[in-house]
Amino acid sequence: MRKFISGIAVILLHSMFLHAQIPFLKELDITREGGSLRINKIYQDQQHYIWIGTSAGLYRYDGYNFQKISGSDSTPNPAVTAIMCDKTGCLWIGYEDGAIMLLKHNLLSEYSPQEGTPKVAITDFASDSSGNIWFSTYGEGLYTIRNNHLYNFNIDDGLSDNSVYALTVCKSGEVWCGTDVGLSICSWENDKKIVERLSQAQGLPDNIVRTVQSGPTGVIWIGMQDKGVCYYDLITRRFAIPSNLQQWNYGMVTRICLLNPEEFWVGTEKSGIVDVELFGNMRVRECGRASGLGANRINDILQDAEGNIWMAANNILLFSTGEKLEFIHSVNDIPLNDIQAVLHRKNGELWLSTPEKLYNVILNSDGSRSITSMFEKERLGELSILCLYEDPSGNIWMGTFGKGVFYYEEKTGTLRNIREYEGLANDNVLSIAGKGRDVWFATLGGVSRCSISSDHSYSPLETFTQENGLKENYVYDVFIDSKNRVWFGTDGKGITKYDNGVFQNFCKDDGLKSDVIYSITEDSHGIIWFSTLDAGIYSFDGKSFRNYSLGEGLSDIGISSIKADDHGNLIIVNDFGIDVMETSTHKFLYYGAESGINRMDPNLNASNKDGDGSIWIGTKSGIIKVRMPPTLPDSKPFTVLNGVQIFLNDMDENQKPVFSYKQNHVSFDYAGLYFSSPEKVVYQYKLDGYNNDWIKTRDRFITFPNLPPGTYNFQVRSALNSQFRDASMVSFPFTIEPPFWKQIWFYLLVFIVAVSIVSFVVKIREKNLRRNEQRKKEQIEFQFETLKSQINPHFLFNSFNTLAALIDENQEVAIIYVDKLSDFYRSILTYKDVDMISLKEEWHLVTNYIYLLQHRHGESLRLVDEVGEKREDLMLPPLTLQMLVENAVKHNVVSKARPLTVRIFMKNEETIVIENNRQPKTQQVASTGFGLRSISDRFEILGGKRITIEQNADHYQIELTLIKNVLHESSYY
Amino acid sequence: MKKIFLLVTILPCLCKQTRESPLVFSCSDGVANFFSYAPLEIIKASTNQVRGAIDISSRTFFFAISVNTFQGFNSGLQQEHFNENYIESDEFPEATFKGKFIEEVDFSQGGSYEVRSKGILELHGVKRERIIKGMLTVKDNTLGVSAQFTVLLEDHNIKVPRVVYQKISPEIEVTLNAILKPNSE
Repeated sequence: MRKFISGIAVILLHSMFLHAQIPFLKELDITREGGSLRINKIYQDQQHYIWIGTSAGLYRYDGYNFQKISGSDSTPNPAVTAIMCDKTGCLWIGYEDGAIMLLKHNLLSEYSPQEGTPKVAITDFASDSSGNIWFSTYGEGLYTIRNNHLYNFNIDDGLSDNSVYALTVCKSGEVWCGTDVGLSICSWENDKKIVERLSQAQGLPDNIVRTVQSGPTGVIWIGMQDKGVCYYDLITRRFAIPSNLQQWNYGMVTRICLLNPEEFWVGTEKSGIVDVELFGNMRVRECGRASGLGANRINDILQDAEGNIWMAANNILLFSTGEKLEFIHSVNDIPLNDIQAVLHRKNGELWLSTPEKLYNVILNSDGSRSITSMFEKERLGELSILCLYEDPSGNIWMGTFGKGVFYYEEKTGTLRNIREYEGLANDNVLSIAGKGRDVWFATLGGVSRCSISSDHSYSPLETFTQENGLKENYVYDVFIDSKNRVWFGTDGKGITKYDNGVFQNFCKDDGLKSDVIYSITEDSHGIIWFSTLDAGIYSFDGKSFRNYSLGEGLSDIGISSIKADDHGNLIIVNDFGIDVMETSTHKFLYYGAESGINRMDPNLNASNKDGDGSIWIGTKSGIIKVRMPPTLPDSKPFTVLNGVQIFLNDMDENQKPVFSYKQNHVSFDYAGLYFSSPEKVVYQYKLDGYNNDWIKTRDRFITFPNLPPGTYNFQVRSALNSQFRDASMVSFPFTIEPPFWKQIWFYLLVFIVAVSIVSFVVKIREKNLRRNEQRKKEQIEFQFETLKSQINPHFLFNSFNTLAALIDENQEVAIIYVDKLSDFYRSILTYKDVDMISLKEEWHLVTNYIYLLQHRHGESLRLVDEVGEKREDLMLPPLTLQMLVENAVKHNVVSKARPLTVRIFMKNEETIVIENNRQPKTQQVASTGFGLRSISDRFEILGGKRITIEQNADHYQIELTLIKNVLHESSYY
Repeated sequence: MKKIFLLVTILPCLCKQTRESPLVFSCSDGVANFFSYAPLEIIKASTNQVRGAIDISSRTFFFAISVNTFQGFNSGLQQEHFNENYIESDEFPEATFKGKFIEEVDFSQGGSYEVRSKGILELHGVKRERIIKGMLTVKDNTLGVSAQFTVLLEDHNIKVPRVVYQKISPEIEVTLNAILKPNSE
């Protein structure tokens, strides 16, 4: 640190105040509606998303779209004034009205601790070394969350002031806050608040501290109201102002952004951005509205992980790939078009050749540039100078197309022309290189060499052509490496090395893919690099060649020149942009349209490295200066999954990724965050369980319609120029459940139900069969019994006795009697195989039977018919009524003194009742009881009800429920 | 005559104006409740002997509770345990909260204000800095105070034996309600 301060002191006087040659700035439009938002904060989280806090809520930017976080403007005053992402990935959003919101997994919630939230603006957040959150307010001091309690630091605790502008956490973990009354340093020591104050008394230049920023080198940078920027050294415990910032005329500091250990940008309230270099030139440059900033008030500056710089210029969001690239399109309204050769001289002059002119651009001490056309009198500019070289003595060598070489001795002002007839290999000179006293010329007719003596005269030229060792006379580039070997890039014969008088050639036979070599350079490790016509670039470490092409990260193979800088990077210029390759890691960066490079069509080898290690590139429309920082920023896109959609509806972030079979239209919205050149990002995705191959795409949205049920894992990775080897990847495992009818439990259920149905059917059938069998058996028994009873000799004997008597009495009646008797027996035979007969038929049978009986018993047996209509649709087993009447006669006394009355009537529609007066015979007739039981069973089997028997002292009653003729007989079989 | 009439009507107003508005409000009958919602037992107790004072000129306040005045435990034994084992009221008879309001309150305007107070909560002899949110009600020359907050037993070194973990919550809810009246000089 001391060394650093003394360094500042030494170079103090050399500081220059310049008007900036501003890096390319791109204005990003947040609102598509075109409304104007004040941009307060810019923040990048661990996932590399850029968050923008505006006067109307929070926005997220992924390099392609600004997405407003819905609900982030739901507080009474939606102005976001502070943003921070904590260690758990939770985003803290502080508002102007004191509210705090938390955003985790895309879910926004209000931070509402028991202690309540501030009523004044949240100005900043910080997370200390233990991960505790601190936030500052404008009016209530500082708050911190510790062990689930919210604690406050304010004036009563020793804080300088209750209005705190900014926070930063220093290396040892204390929280520094800037207030109107100086700095306060807050920490905890065993549950005790410790507050230390620093103000003007301790050497703080200005008590109003607007911003604080902890630096990596153990210093705290402090931005003040009037006195600009100072720093506090944590070791020496002293304040100091960098030597080049002693005079501060830029007004209030709003933000300090430390770009690298050597440079920081200061945002101011009225002067835009002040760029401060701490080493080297110690430059201080002001870029305000006039320089294209759009506004003079800078609210915030952010350097992202790729090294890009984001600026909130009041209501404009500006983006820049940083200071790596600087553009000079014109000087004093003279456009610098179609640059053929560039030379940055040791004295700072920039010589540029166009097809018509040779210009000298001079950087004046006031920061302006002036331009002069050189050798107007000699009309040298019109000769189309193709290459420029400055030798160690400061003499300029110029190669032309067709007019040989011009040698300009600056001290004496003499200009000499060296032509083919003077020994130059050819008058078309494409490249000049030199080292020490030697100067080499590459021409379309071989190469030439001369050496310069101390009096600036040059020796006679020595020429090498195909005749004396050179493989090919068309030479595009000549380069002298650190080991004094001379390299020639040829048209069609590869690369040729000249070492101690010996030519060695490497071409396709040695493994090169192209024999046309355009440009040669050497990196800081002594490795030779060269570019080819159509096979990318090669490295040569003295033993072998290694090729880098599109697959290795090059963005384009149309390379016009290749130059190594002083930080171990190769600057590779193509028609559309610039690739930067870190030679130690083979990492590629690309700068194109996002960085302000439009199609530039540079001329062959129109590039030059200056004394600072910056590379100057001449293009179709101006000059680009490339200066890479000492370490290259991240060059990989960071893959993020913006969202998952089911049927194009956003999935609830809290939902488990298990979808039903109907939710099988799954879309993924992803992005590779790479703000330097989003258009160069390509993606590979695959859906494990569906397709096992990586599919390359430029789309950031993919839909899988109609996914069958299964377990899947969606993976996507993003890379630049197809460098997918170490690409960052995100995955989203999910499951689509089969429909319920394809799930095991359902199969089981179906099986069980089927089995039970089958067994039920089998059972019913068995039961029916059994019942039918039973019926058959009973029917047979009944028929047998009926026949037996009807052919009962007693009945026949009685009937014949009656008949014998009738024949004596009345022959006509006897004939009728015989008819009835035979009719009765015929009916018995007819009905013996029938299940049921109608009531009408049965009645006919019964009346025959009664007739036969009445002739025997006369008045002693009476039948009372109260049935009415004998319906045909009421059915009953045959001979039922006959048997019941027979029973009545069989069991009761039938005599003149005690006549037996059998009354038959319908109790209701379907119930028929057979009733007789009860006068049991004294000597009981043997009864099997078969008749009644059989009737009852048959009634039941045929679907009716069992018969009911009621008897008391006087009456005997049997109720039969007749069967309605709806059942067809066949249904029983 | 007219002038005298004017004087008569204005005089009382002037007197009222000149009479100093009170700066300190106090009470000794505030109500405090505490609740412990443990899985196996809910304990509630309250006291109406909360003493407190608010100095509106400096926005400072002081509240004190004699912890042995808490009544309403589920059993006498519980109260005894509370006083002897946990809170140790013989040794630490008072629980206090004193501090300052963070927000500025216009005490001359009637109404209810949500205020946060920052102060030291002393309980069981352990002092803890706390921010407690509450309502201040300015009405008829009185100050109503109501607040609800939780006390972590661990914060105040109140040890609960493992056996009664299921019966005593580690987080005790406390409510405080008091009406403070101006101090008569």
